[in-house]
Amino acid sequence: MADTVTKTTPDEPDTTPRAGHEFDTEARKQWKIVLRRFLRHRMAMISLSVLVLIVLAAIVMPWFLPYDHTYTGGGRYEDPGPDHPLGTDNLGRDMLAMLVRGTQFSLLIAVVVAAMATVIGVTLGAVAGLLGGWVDTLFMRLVDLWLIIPQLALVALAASAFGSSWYLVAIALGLFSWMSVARINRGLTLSLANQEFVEAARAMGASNTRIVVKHILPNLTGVITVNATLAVATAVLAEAALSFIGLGVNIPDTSLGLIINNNYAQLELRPWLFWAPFLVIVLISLTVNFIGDGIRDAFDPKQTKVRA
Amino acid sequence: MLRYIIRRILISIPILGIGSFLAYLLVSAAGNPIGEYRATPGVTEEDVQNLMIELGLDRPIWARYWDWLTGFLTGDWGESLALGSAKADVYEEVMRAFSVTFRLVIGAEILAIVLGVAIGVLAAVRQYTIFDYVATTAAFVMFSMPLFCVAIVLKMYGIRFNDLLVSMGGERWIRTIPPAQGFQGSFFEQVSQYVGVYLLPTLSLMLISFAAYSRFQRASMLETLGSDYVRTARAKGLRPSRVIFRHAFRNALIPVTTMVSLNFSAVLGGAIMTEMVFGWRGMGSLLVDAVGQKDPPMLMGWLMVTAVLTVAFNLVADIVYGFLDPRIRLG
Repeated sequence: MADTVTKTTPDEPDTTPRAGHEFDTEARKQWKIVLRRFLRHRMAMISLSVLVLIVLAAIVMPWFLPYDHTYTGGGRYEDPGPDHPLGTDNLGRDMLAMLVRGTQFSLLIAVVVAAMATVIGVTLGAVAGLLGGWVDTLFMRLVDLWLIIPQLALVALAASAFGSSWYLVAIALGLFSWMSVARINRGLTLSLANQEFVEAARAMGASNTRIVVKHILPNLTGVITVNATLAVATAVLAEAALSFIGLGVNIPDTSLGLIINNNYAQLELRPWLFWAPFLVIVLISLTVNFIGDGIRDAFDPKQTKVRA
Repeated sequence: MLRYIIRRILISIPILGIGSFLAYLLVSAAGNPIGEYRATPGVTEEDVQNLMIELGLDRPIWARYWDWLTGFLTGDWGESLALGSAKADVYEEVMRAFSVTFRLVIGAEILAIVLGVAIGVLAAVRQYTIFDYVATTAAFVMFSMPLFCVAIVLKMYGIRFNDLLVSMGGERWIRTIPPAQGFQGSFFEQVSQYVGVYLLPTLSLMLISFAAYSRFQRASMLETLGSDYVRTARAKGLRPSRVIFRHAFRNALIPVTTMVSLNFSAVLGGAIMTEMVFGWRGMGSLLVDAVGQKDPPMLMGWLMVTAVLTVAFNLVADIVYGFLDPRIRLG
């Protein structure tokens, strides 16, 4: 309505300074403020650079490595040297090549799981919070139901039913990772749904879909982004745990957890075989958690740590 | 209060019921030992059919579920279907494994709660001091650690410590499993043996929960410290210690209680990994074996025990709420 009646901004920006104005101020858009705050968050930016390096290395390095994961021509447990920078494992595979491939799979799984958890959790949470009544009761009982058995056990069972390829493990993890996201989003939607602007939209005849998409979801963006980021970190750890106990990803695919499972017995004799994948897991989950913290601070209107 | 507890228990029954059916579907989908049996050389299709009839696998799933459910409720949890084991009784196996895991989980959780709450409160009271920064950073790093790796590293140092003791003419102190003949000797020797067995697994399992609790406790303590009623209490001229403990601390405990109760299944997941690393024969190895051997009755027993416990923990948390928060009136 409003956009058809008036035009608030002139077509050509007026660049000549107006008399009586020493300097012009421009209202900043919300997302610009958030972005600026995030860019000034030192820990988050350091973490982002480290994470980008890891991701780039996982994508680019296979082209520069002399060996790939199918190579089994090395000796059994060779020490690190110019030929194999991280040595070889018990099957004579080049550890660096395995590590790069494991990182690729672990990252892929984590992203798929986080995406699934976010989409399922946000949808169920927003619908439950907005509609209330029996839908709310049903969805929240569903969450309770999903939470009564340890996630690790459920995912292990699902993965054993689906198979041990990386995407099947990712789907199994994703199916059992959305519960906390749903709870958080339901609570926030519930409090948003009772606010005046939603009532106003409803009074003007907006449909439920329009209210969710135009009024509720934009207000949840911050929380959704933070939780999606943190879900990546949780998923990396969950996948590693699952593959470590031998119920997750398995050959021909691989993952960081599986690499640790294969090599941790060598901790005393060949510590690098354990510490290398361990370090990658910790770096990924640590940096992702720091980035999530940075995003949380950037979206928080009350925070004072970083100037806008 | 009693009415509330009874109502809550009545609500959890349908949840457990539906949960058990879904679990049964999932367990059936995960497979049964028939596939493996069929692949064994020298087994004819007739043998497979006979075994399926013997195990009741030829009947529709809801009929099998009903059989399982009536058996479960009357205390007959069935026998292990794993082909290797000698038809072990599910109830006995699960309870034995659970008693192992329970000792580990209880010790680790008590330590994590006490230490996490204490350090969280201290970090909040001394916000932006060195102590706060160290505690917050340490919790953040622990929170991002894969638990099984912590356990693996601790185990390595345990072995090194043992070697050090032996080289100094002592005995191995850190053990991975309880001594076969039980804890013996004088009181102090028994305590020392007990600590030697439980120290490292408890420590590894504790660290992760501890990180989560101390972070959460710090945040909730900071929130209550900044609230109006705390300012009022300070303005009245109450002693700082009284303000912190009577006014801020007690209210800051409420959100942490939720966290602890919801964390229970994550702790069980952590216990599974810890047991795998230290080679304990508890719920962890039971689950891994049962999934690997495709053993439905054992899996159902496992899932039901953990499900009932989780529901019980949530109930306890709600009751503790009532004591902590006078605004909540149960009834």
